[in-house]
Amino acid sequence: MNLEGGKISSGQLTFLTAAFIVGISIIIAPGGNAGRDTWLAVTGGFFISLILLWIYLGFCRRYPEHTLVEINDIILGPALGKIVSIIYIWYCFHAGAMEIRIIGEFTATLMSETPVDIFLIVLSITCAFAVYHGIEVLARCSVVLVIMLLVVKAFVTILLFPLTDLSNLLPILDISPPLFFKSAYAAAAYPFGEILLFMMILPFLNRPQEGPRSLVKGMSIGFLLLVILAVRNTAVLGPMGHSITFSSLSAVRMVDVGDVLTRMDILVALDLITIGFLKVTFFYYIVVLGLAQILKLRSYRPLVVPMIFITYIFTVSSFKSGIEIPYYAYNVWPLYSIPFEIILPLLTLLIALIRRFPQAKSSKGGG
Amino acid sequence: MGSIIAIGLLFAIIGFYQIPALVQRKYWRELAAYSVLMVVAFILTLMRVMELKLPQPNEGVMVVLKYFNLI
Repeated sequence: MNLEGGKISSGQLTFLTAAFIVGISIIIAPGGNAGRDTWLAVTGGFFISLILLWIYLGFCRRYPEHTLVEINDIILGPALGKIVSIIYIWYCFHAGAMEIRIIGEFTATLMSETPVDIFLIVLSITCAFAVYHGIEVLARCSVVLVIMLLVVKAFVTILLFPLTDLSNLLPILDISPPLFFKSAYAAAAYPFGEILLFMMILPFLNRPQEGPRSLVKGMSIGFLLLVILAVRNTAVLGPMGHSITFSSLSAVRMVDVGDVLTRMDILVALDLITIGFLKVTFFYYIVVLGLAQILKLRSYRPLVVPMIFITYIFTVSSFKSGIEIPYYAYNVWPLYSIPFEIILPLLTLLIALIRRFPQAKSSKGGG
Repeated sequence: MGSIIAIGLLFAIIGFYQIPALVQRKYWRELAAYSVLMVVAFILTLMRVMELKLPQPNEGVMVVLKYFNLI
């Protein structure tokens, strides 16, 4: 089944992974519950997620030509495999819808007289347009947009140097171990653990054997960026900085170089919208591609337009108001992710080990 | 009432453009999947326009987690 004609290079995959990891974490810092130790929570989360990545890549190494949906079919059999695939697709869909909503809410704080719906609709349509043109477009976009992100972040961080007070980071690890572990796990579940979904596009690499290395490279770039952001925000805003909903925005708003360079917060919005666009498009692409593979269609493109409407409705109904978002992101989402990111892959691995990694042909025999 | 007609028209126009292309290439499976998703999308959009209560997955997640005393 060749649903996606395009091929991406391993370099493009690196950038796409970095964009995926950074995503909306620019404004909702992962592991933000840890207060001034957020950067340590992010570090812990990164190392936890490397263990998860090792499990996921175990599958990819044995089935280099198959996507996650096809791997489920092969290992678990056609019926159970489809159910498990639908669960993954649901998770991806839900995560994507939340992501669109967060971007919409954020943009609505900047343009407060425009209804959120406008941003949600425009973003959904833009993403659908990108999905319609395939993974190659997305991968090429990611190279340009991630380089732009790095330049803008470096620029803003340098401008913030005069306000940076690293003593705000002290004392290190002044929180209870359970809270620290919880925050680290929250960072591992979101955004690092969602790397699971890259199993859907690894077969589209032109050199599949380079996939794992690109993933780790991209994750490291994203991780370094997030750590720098966390350190910068804490150092600029002080230890209570993380109680602000959008701490990056507040930190960058403080840039003031001789009363000339001020109001740089629009750069954060620029980064968020471009990188968020990449991440949402990626989710969207996985949902449509996964559905098409589950239903054994010959093209995923007919599903793109109906999914705009369904995604839009879910983004609208997912939160009552924007105030719920940080609570949900820090306390509910990590727990909600456990079955999708840990339990299901481990169960699949267990079944695969018992069945001694069946190959594609034997799955038809059903034994 | 006007907004309901507008939604109906919007879906009719989209279908008018997309269905012939699928029929021409004899993509019957795709057409079936497309139709089902379009009907779901239409119902959900109508519910939104008529301001009915929409399904809220996040609420469900919270209820389950609260039941197990996790949050």
